[in-house]
Amino acid sequence: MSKPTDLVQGTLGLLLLKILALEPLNGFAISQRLKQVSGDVLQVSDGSLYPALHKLEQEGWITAEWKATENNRRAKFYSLTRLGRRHLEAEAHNWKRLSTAISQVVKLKEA
Amino acid sequence: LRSLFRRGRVEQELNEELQFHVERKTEAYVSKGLSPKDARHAALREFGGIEQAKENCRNTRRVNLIETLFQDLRYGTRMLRKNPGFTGVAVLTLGLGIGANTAVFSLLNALMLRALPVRDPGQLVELLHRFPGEPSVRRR
Repeated sequence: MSKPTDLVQGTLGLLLLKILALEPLNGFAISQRLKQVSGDVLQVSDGSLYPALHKLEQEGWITAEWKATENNRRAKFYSLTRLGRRHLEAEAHNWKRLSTAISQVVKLKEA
Repeated sequence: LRSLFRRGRVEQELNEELQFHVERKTEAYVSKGLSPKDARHAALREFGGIEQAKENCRNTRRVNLIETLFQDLRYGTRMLRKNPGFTGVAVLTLGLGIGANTAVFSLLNALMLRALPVRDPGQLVELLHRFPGEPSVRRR
């Protein structure tokens, strides 16, 4: 949907895990939160959010639970598992390494 | 695993989950001043293909493989029933092939592989009679 903010392959999972590490949320709230914390830069299309969540659930990194929202409506809330937390740490570390490396290359001064 | 035995339940949860999303989004648009109908359209449009998203969700579950295997088997039998001529030829070919092989093998098995059905096969000798003047037949 948003051309310039196409997510780097594989980072959606990392973002979702991180957001869920802060607090359990339902799918809609996750997409709102992602938009909000990234200053409207990152936006995941609705069509790819849910498959990504189900994938993470299948991997055992998050679990889902039907709970009432603050407006007393039933929604599926996702929360991080212990396995997911460990995976998040590893992924975050990888990301840091990769992004520092890339910014170092981009920062090179032209002769 | 749950998704294989309680497919209806899982499917319903998937529906509810996505419906919840569309409803919240619709509300968000309504609060921005759209009419409920327009808001719903906008929310659905933004979602893109809901059925496609559902299918992608289902695909993340591995049981989908087993499910599609059964679908393929059903499709196969259906197609065979639709083309009795082809089915007949295929069954006949397989039957003749397997049958001929079995026949040849059981014959060879009895003749060459098994020991002769006597008490001490090593003791068997061959007796030949030669008429006077007959040229000698070299054996072996």
